[in-house]
Amino acid sequence: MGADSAKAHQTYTVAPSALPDDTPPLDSLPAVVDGHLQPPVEAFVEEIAVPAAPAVDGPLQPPGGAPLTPIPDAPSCGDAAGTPLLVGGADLEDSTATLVAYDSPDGPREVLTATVTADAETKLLEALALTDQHLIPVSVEQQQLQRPQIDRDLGLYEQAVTVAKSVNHHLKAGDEIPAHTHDNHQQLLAHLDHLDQAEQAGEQPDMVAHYRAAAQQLGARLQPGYATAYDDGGKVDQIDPYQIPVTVTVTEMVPAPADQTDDPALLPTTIRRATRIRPALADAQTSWDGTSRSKATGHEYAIDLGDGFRAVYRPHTAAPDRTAVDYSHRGALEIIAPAGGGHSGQLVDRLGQLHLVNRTMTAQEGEWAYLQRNITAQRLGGDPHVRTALAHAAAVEDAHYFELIAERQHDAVGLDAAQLDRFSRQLVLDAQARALTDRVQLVRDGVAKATGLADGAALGAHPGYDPHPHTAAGWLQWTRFDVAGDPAAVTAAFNGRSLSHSLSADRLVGMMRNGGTLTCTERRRRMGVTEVGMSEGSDMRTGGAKSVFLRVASKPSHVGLYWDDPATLLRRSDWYAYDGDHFGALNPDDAHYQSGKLTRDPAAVAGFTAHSNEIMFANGIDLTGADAPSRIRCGTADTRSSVLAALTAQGLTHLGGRPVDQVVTT
Amino acid sequence: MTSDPPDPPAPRWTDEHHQRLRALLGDPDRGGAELEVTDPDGTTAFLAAVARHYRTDGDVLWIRPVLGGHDPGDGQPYTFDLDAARRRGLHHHQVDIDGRDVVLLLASGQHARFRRVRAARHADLERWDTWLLTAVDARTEAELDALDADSHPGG
Repeated sequence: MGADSAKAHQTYTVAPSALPDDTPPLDSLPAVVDGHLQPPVEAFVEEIAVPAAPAVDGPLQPPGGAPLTPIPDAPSCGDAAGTPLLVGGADLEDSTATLVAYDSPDGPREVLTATVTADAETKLLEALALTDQHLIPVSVEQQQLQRPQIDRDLGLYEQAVTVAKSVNHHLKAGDEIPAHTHDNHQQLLAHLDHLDQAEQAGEQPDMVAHYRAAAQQLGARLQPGYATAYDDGGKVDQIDPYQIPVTVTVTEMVPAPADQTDDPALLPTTIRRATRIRPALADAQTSWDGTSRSKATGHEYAIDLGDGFRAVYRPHTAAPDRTAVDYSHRGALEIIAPAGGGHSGQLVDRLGQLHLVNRTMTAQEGEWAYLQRNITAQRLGGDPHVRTALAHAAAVEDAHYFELIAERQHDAVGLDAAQLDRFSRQLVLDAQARALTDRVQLVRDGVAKATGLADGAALGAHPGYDPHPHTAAGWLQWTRFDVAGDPAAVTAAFNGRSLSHSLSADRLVGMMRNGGTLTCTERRRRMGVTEVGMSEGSDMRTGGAKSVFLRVASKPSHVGLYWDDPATLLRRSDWYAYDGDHFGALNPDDAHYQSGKLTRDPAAVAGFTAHSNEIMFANGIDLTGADAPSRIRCGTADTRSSVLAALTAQGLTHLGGRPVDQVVTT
Repeated sequence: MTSDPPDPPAPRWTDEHHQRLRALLGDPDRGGAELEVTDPDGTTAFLAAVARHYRTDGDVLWIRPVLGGHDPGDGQPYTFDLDAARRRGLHHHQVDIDGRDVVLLLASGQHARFRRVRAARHADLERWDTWLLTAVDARTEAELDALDADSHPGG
């Protein structure tokens, strides 16, 4: 679907239905009390043919059904955004994993990234050899970039920065640089002169030269009559701390020798300081050497999965005596394949080694997810039809679960603890699979009636109903059928106003060169973007936001991005909006959040009056795909040329179905 | 295309309002301000130091809370995530001076008070000043000062 889709609308039916022909209509279904049907299960669930006894060992058997997002044989090498997948179950945030193939001289380096939910963390940790028996402390030598000790002792970097800060401040203000700044500068020079003469200088001659160069820059600006404009070369360049590679000894908890552990099934694990993959990004192509990593806050588990595969996981809950992981990094999981492509299937499969669901979502599961998102987006959760449908859907799963227990209880006799655990988990999976068709039909019916339609079949025939996710730049998006069914009406309500995002010409060009994605810091870091004011090798704690925002604008007045057809974006199911900047909790999941001002109603957004209004979109906006803007306003002919060149370099001739030279304007 | 509905009258910012706010914001050698937004019942909804720039645009006051700071450790410079320290707009109906403070009545019904930065947040502001003046190039600094961009993605 989408404004530019050539795909004809298909009517979706739920087939085959597991409900018997004489199933009573929804309104007459038994009441649900404390999650249990009254009268009991037998009055509602027909007897179903008993299947063959399931296996007691080996991998869990997944439900049938075609995958909603097939695993690619090989993700596009160097594609910074990656290929998103929907994974079954609820172990991963948004049920999403992303496959990225970093370019490297050794061939593609394929990595699966995902965020494990807090609820799933326990079973993941149970797969790891983490007890005192399994881990031993080992002193490990590492190469790190550090400031020399003498620099730290004398504070040379701090002295230089203190002077630079004052010089820049007063140059910008156009007033006199105070005497104490001159004195501080002289003190810095004196320290450097002393080091030149002292023995220590012999050890770090480059350090002295580094800071002397900075001091000379500063000295030039301290001279009487210095007249270079601040923003035209007058501002002192960024002064980086001088760093040298240093071998440091750190203690890591590493796997004990195999003969010292009595549970070889657990995965060998090292506990170390948290890191992030540190890729490089050039011309929208991302590369990684397989080893470069930047430091991060907290600790992580480096896991050996065998056969050259490894995983890295940052926990939600810090281990005792350890620093907590940065909020936006909690639950972050990487599964890294050996160099060379073709490992996509294995990457997904190896989620199972971590006790996580390791199969892609089926189409039926996808429709369930689609309905859930539409219930949220269209605020249908409080509707009686939807509430009843959801309650009955939960009861249906319970009913199938208890039925399976009755069918298979004799198979549990004689099982050991591990086999019993597997047995019970398979029961849950099978109950979910059996119930899914019924649940989808029930909830589809409830949503239909909540939105004024006759029944689920009518909803399936709705022109906006499309339970398939759409791939954007590394994530998946679902639509909401109310907007997708009549986008023209939504756009008309805006009365000529657009959605917009302002940014400087430099940032616009850089963003288009990096692949044309408007997205958050965390995702940009995974791509390899170097953020403003970040020095090489340093880490940046992100603010934790995983969304971007646009505003309703009346007239194009700034350099930036403009969507003249707001329905292009509002057909997504993942946005929410405020008429005016909201000071308080923005995230509906936040404990301090107050719902009163938030809206998901397109008509309300069309009526926004505050210039500081915000419409938040999860993950980001793919500017070169179906969500492309109507106009990219560049401000100058030079910027326009740069943006067009960036698009040409990526082989893009059209945006949103229109030639790029019509979209990119001055 | 029909015309937009008329905007409500913009709050009247006098020279005194501007002078008082500028005095509060100060410069890296002195002063500094923080912003506290309170709900109608007095509960604090937001509290942070603010960067030393602002811009009025009709009924919106654009400012930049000092958020998203991070000390990488090992002697590395303190950094800021500009997605967190992005410009924020105070949509307001009224501006007043209360003692040394500048107070806005927001369209949301909340109050926004600019006052001298307190010790707990003064360190954040100092780190922001250092980062802005020594780790960011002049063009980016001007871009941040202008308060007219919604984001500043890296390159």
